[in-house]
Amino acid sequence: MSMKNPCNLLPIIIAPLLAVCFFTGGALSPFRFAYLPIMIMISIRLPPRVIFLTGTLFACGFAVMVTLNKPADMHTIAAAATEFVLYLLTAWTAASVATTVSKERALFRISQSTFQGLCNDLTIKANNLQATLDTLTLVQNRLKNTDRCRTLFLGNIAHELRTPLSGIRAFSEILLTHEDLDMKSQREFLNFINNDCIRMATLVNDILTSLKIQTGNLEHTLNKVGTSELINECIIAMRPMAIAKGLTLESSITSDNIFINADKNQVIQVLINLINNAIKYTDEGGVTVGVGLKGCFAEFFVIDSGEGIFPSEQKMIFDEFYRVLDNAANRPIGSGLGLSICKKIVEVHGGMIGVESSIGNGSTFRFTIPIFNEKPFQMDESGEMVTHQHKDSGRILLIARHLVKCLCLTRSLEDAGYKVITTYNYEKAHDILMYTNVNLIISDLGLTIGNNDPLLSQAASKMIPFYQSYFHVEPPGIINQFITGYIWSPFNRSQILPILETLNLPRKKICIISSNMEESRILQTVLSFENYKTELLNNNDEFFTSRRSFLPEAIIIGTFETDQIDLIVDKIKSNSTVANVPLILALKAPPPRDIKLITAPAQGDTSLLFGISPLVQIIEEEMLK
Amino acid sequence: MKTIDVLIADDEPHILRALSFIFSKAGFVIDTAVNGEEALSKCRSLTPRIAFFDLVMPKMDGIQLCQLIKAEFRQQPPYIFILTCKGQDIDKEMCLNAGADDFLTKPFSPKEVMDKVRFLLAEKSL
Repeated sequence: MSMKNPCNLLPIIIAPLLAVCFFTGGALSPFRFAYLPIMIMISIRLPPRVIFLTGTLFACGFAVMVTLNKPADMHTIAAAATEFVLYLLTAWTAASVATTVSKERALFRISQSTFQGLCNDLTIKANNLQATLDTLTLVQNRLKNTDRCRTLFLGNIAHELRTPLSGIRAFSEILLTHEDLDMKSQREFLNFINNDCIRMATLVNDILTSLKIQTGNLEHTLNKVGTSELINECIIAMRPMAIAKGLTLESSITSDNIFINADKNQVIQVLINLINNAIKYTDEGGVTVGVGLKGCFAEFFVIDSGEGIFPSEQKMIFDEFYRVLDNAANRPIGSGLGLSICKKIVEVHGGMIGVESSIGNGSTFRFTIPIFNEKPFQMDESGEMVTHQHKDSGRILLIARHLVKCLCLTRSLEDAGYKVITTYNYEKAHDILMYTNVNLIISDLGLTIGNNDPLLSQAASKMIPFYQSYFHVEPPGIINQFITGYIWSPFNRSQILPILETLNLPRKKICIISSNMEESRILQTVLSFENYKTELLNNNDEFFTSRRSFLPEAIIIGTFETDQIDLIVDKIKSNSTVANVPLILALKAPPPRDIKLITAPAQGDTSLLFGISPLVQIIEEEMLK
Repeated sequence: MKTIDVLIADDEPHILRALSFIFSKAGFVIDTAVNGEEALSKCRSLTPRIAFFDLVMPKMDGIQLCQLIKAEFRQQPPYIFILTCKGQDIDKEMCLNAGADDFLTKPFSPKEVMDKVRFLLAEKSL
């Protein structure tokens, strides 16, 4: 038990040391005796030059001691010289041992950091794999959902077709088998057959319209449309139906004629559908149609005095094939697609549709359509007004962090008639893409996006072109012009060497600028195996001052944020010593293969950014595809 | 108590008209209902021998109606046909489990329906 206390071990250690010291002459000449252990110890801790210096001092000291203590005869001088040489040899051996040890230690440290780097890379890879797996699971679920929706849709179509078909079959068979039918019954049954045929035709038309909207093939031309005329047209068309049911159909326009930016026929279709439903589900009273201004939108409303809709049903009435069942004693004939078509048409125009209703107090359907904006008008060469209409499905997702750039680009694109959705990072863009359809993605964040980024895979799966832009209003212009090549984590020999071989660096001197120590160490190790001399610099270091002896032939810029890369490149380019040195940019992941680069004018011509810029031309070409 | 031969319950007016025409023409005493609740009350008051219920009806669907009637009329329940547009196996199974005696998928032939009813009335002495 007592052996566990280290103090108890001291006599056991000290006693043999004293014995060795006494019998080897250490007690008589402690200075000489201490020399060897001191040399061994300092050879481990101190640099080789210091060790050699210490050894030499010891040797000189001994030589002087020997010479002073004894008479200076030849024998003494020879003994002192021999001892001096022996001491020097010992010092030299210790120094070389120290050199080897320090080299080994450095190598061990580098290997350790390389290993750590590899571990980190593996963790990143594992996370990326997990992200890919999550995306795939999401896509799989969406596919399953799509499949389920399709089956449900087909089932509903079959169901809706069978209903009128059963009438047609029953009455045609009755007419064929009962020859003695009176004229009145014959006409009644023929009327049933006729109504069922109309119902089937309506259903087929509605299905086709619905499919066209779903696949984005519904053509619509946006024009300046006056809402008062539009409502009057609908009222004239629907009044006979209202009168036949003993209802009133009135218009209520609260402000001056509001002009909307819409496809006239499609808005009429929505209004007619809503008025038609209102008349069908109202037995007493009347229907009022009107419009008012609500912000940048014109808000249409159709108010009826019908039975109203249950709150639980209000959310579902815009779903395909949903029909309000209570009141079905006199259930009007319909496809069950009318309101879902209305919803889609309104959404395609950029508006919203909804219903307010309570049982016994009727219902109010409201929908909004953007008002006509004078801004898209521009003068052409002949002084004529030219309308930049919103392209059908021309929706662009713009990812930009820089506010001014973002505004410039948005303005240019909107002037050219595109709808622009903006966001400031890839994660947000990924979320937006999950729920919104876009036709093109433009990123202004720089090549910090990896090939395996969920946003890119999502864009690829949806076949959305991804553009990478580099817009700089001020010189020095475009970053990627200065970057000679890219390397990416995990850094290895096979990807770095080809770039370095192309650059042909005779003195093999490379500078690594990185704020990540591990990254620098890994790059240093990889390069050291190929006999490249490296210097590690931090972003905050003073780059390449004239006092520096190390002048690199190439510079590797580590994985910084885009803005920082801009600054570093500016800093390098403004330094005359290294301004022409090739730059290699390190990325967190392999550069994306499918990214196309759009380059803005290098001189930073701002008028191009505010007008029809080259970017817009590229987009026009892409949209035409 | 007044009794009838056939009760037809459907929310589609043309189905009601077609079925009521063929049964009336053949001399049956019939009545119609446009929703589940009306059909239940008419079943109670008119005790039909044969009933045609649409599967999807307002206020009460065909299956619910079928279960209620079979539970209520234990001694002499009507022979129940369920009319449906769907016709998948699962619907048929659900209807039969609910106590329906037969299953008719739209569009149907009035003649076949008529023959079936005649057979039931004659053979099973309903």
